[in-house]
Amino acid sequence: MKISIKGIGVLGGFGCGMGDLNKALIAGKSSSAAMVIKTTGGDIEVPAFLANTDRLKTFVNKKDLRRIDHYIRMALLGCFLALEDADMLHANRGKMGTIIATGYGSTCNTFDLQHSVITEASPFCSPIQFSNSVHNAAATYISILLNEMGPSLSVSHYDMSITSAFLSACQWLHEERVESVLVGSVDEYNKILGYFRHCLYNSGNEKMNVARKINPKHAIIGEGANFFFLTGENETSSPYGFIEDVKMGNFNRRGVNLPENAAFYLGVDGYSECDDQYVKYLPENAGVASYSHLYGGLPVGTGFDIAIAALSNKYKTIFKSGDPSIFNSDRLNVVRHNEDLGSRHICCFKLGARGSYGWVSLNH
Amino acid sequence: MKPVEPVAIAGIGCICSAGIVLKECMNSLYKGERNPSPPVNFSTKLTFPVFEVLEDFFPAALFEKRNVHRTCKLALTATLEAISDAGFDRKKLETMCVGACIGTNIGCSMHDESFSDDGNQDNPQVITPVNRFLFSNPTSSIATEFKITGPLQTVVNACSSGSDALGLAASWIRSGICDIVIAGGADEMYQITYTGFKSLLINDDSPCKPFDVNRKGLNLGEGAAVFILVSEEIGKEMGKDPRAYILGYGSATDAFHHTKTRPDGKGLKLAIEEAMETSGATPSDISFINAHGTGTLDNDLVESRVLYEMFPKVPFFSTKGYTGHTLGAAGAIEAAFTIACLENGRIPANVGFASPDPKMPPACPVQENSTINGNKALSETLAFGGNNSVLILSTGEHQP
Repeated sequence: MKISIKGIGVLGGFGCGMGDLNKALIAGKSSSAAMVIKTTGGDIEVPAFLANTDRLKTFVNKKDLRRIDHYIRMALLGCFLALEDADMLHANRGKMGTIIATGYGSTCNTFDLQHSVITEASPFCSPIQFSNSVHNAAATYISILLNEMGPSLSVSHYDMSITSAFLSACQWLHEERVESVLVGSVDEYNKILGYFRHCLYNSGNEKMNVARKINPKHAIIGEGANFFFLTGENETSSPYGFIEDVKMGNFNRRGVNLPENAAFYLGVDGYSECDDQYVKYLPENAGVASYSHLYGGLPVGTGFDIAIAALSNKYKTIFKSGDPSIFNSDRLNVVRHNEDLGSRHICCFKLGARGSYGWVSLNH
Repeated sequence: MKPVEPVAIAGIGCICSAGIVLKECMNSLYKGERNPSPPVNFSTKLTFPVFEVLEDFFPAALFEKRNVHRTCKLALTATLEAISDAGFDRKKLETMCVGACIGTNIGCSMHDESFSDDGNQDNPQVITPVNRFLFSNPTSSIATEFKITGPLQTVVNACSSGSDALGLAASWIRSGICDIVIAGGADEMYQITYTGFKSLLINDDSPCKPFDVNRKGLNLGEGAAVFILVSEEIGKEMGKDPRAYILGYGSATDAFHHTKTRPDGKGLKLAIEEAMETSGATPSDISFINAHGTGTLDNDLVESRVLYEMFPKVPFFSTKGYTGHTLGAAGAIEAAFTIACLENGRIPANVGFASPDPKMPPACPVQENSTINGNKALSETLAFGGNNSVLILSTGEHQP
């Protein structure tokens, strides 16, 4: 059985939908916003790639959106865009599973909730704020709005969240537990993450060695959602290609086995302590690219790399890479201009916290 | 769904307010002991009783990384018991493909209180709590401590997380992704959750009474249960028969409401059907049902109706009256209790139940410790978001 990508929904700093992502890839840039954070030491400004969810109104009526925060709106919009792209919004989807990954969860809502309970020492809190703070709240809205009663899974494993979600999606399809899976991920910007970035790059903090390795211009906080409608079929072709394999492990303890004849889309985003270690594991002369300059630094960034890999399959093109400072290595064959994909597979590869790694490979 | 291959359980560890190892928990249950009281691990103006693990339970000297969050401490403590129960050497684990799949709620929330404070007070120490968050995930803690090299997954399906983690981990073994999976659930008592449940008006101000006509809601609890799942090859290599098996797993969603149970129980029925089909068992094979039974009005009503419709003659009980609702750990803790009950041939009384609810079907939970026959049982969990997860478990050839 092949795992076919039938539709994709994305939103982030680059815009909304696969068309906007494609435009950003061609232009080689996205627009960041300057977020002002008030602190006791004065205002600070932090750049961030933000997502706009206005298009959600075309899928969900206003009344149903009343109690839904930005994080959940992003997830919903990603789902609806993926189903629309697959032409499955109103079609019979059969038994569908839903899997949602997040690195942080609904942080703005959660921090507000914590603040009201802890700082104000209140014995009460908003029931809606509380129920929206539960990690599977986004999955709940999706199941209700789509009236889907199939298996639903929410996972949160920092920067391995989306890889572990794809692992389960492929399992469910191979086991024929479901006929299709809507799998994706979401993370949002919040002022504490903004402040974290400010401290990381401006206060000379010696505890984190990231700041010494990465150009701060490359490490822009991102937010957004990426969703994929997958089916397991015996087709020979699919516009976005197929999910070939998913692997997770620990590179410190057992190294990394990477696929052969592949181009590598690296999850280099300026926040991982091991951004400079990719070069140790990549095959010599393999084409490598990074696209976090379009979507930003967020735990589920690999999801955007998978969407870009699907576009590469569609257009048979490896898009020109961004230029994180780790790409100065002579050992890396960085994709500096759009090039033909040829027969290559694409491996979306992320080195994460504590030696964890994950990759998702696509073929066409 | 077709029947699937059973997955062997080599070892189990469990910690909750009823005990800090599984055997101690079962002794408490059979003795009918419970002692919920207002929380002591955090300050609050509320006085609803909870089931906290009060002992100094964490054997810090046995771990390399000791300064971890409470959820991780619970998970690591249960894992140590499970590995010992399986008869594994920690060093041996490092040589095999071992994955970890743990369910939790608090374990991967941005729940560090100092973090919240720091961000609001412009304290550069924000980096410390951010890092602590990144390293507070119970799955990661297990992976670091036991130097495992396989896939990691942290399930955040609210209260069904622990059962879902076990079902998913079994699938990893069946498909050959791992030789061994450390799987289960862990959650700590936490001020925000405690206050949040109060805001939903589903906390009981006295010890909870699952399935009773006078039930007023749940009591929160904390704990962890961890299972060592092994492939057939590893089982043979160990030369030790399995302690138990995961025979089947099913899950489905209500598509109804965030915090209320779907009145017709359709999601739960779908999950039970999938679990039964994958296990190859029939209702007459099921010796008993370890129900979710939180003590809330809606949950117990819907659950009792579904169980009566699908398993009219099968005895059922809830153990929430002994442990409180341990949220992300509940499914795993109750799966551990289910297996221990099968091994002992005995199920505990549904503590807190005194009078039947006339709105429920004419089947009451077991009211005293009872002997059971057979080797298969069903454990079910229902969750916020309408998640329903069901496990079919059986005893193995090795009796501890």
